[in-house]
Amino acid sequence: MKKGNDRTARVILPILTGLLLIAIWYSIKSIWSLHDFILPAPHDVLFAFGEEAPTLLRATVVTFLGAAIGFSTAVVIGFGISLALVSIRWLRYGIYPYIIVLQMMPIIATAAIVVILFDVGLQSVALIAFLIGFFPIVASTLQGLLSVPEGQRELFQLYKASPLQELVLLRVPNSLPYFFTGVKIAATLAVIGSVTGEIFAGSSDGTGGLGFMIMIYKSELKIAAIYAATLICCVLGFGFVSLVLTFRHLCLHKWHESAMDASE
Amino acid sequence: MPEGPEIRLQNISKRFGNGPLVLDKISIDAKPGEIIGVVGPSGCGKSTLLRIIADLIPASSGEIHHGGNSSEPAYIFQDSRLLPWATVLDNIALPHRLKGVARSERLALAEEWAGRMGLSEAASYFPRQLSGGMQMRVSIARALSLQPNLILLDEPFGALDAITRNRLNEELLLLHQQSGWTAFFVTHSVTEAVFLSHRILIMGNNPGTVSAVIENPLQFPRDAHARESIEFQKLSAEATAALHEVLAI
Repeated sequence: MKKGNDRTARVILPILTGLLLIAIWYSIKSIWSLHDFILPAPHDVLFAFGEEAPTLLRATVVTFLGAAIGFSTAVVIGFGISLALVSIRWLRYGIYPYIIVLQMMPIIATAAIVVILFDVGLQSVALIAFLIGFFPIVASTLQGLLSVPEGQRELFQLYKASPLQELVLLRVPNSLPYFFTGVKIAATLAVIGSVTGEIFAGSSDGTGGLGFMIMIYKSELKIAAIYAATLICCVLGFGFVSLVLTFRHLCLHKWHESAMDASE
Repeated sequence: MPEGPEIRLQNISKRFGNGPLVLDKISIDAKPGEIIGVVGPSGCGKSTLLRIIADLIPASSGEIHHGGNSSEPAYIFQDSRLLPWATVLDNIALPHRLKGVARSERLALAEEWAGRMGLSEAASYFPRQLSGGMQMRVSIARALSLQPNLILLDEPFGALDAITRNRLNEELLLLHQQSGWTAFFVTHSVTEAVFLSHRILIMGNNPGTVSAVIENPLQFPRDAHARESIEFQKLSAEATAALHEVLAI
């Protein structure tokens, strides 16, 4: 009974919060008599979805492509690099400090450099989405691969396990919760990276994504359409994170507490 | 019981780096099928001694001679050290997997040992779904499934409640009766050492030395009633007095 109540609350409370936020939005606009150029009303944003539907749909596909290519590449390469770094100590000593330093680079500055090097278009957008997701995945996965409990390492030593067996049967499973933490951060950042990339690298030949369209709408003073595009970005990001959480739940829920609550 | 020791420790000493001497000239023979209870104050080097015997760390000096059988010793740690992502069966089968035993063969072996340890119904469970006692049963099954001649037990039941601990002690003796392995059993409990062992090794502290070796005349097989006998009480008192002498030094 308690569980049922909890499930209902998890559905109803976000809806109520959403309605409250819309009410606050209307109130702010009304109390301060804000012009549509400054703050469009929620229903204006809704209309913008309808008016700009074909453009927004095409832009969404482009942004999704940039984010998906960058994100999936970051997952595969990030995991592979982590395995290499944990297996070859001198490689870790030589490269890891740079991975930490590169993680500190502001994405806006990185995006500008990427566009200069690789020109505008999907390749640069995907690369920026890749760069923003790659570092958290490597940092988290490497931590998981290295932080194996001493007792379990001793157990593998006792059974005379080879380094490959220790990697595959001990370090990799131990790193999975950490890996998914990194992937979840990367998923959150994938759309941000893609949109940031499009602002710098989205082309005007009909292939611009949501970031590019936000710039166009700004120049055309279509403020409600900017809000609509921003909301689509949020939904896209939510989709990526949900996908990761689903995978995490499938892989870990039987043994790791981080993935036991499916409702997250 | 065949002649000749299963394992002979000769003047085993250990020093970590430039630190103080941890173990000083430990010498003892363990006959085939003999259980030696190792009791001593915290920090006297009991676990270090077991690690040296298991070849997890090297001795600084001294020699270890194994009897005719060269099979590797099994080790049962204080914590069960189960892999949280593996089921009970996969945990029991782990050492066999690492030795390259085929999947069907190692799972059959794991099922057999799960059955012997009363874990059949929990075979597909993950460690977090098991009680502390059941986790330790899995750990014991994992070690014994290797059919070792020598078992090193490092306070395996130290974290369990008294009832579970006594029950596992009795089960361990039954398993010993079936297989006849030799064992070193490290414990902080004098009564546990008396119940399980043929001899009790009392270790002194700073550095760890053999302070006394007490013969245990209690007959095998032993069951729960053995703890109620006068001989058991006398021997426990004798071992406790020997331990107090060590602590008083």
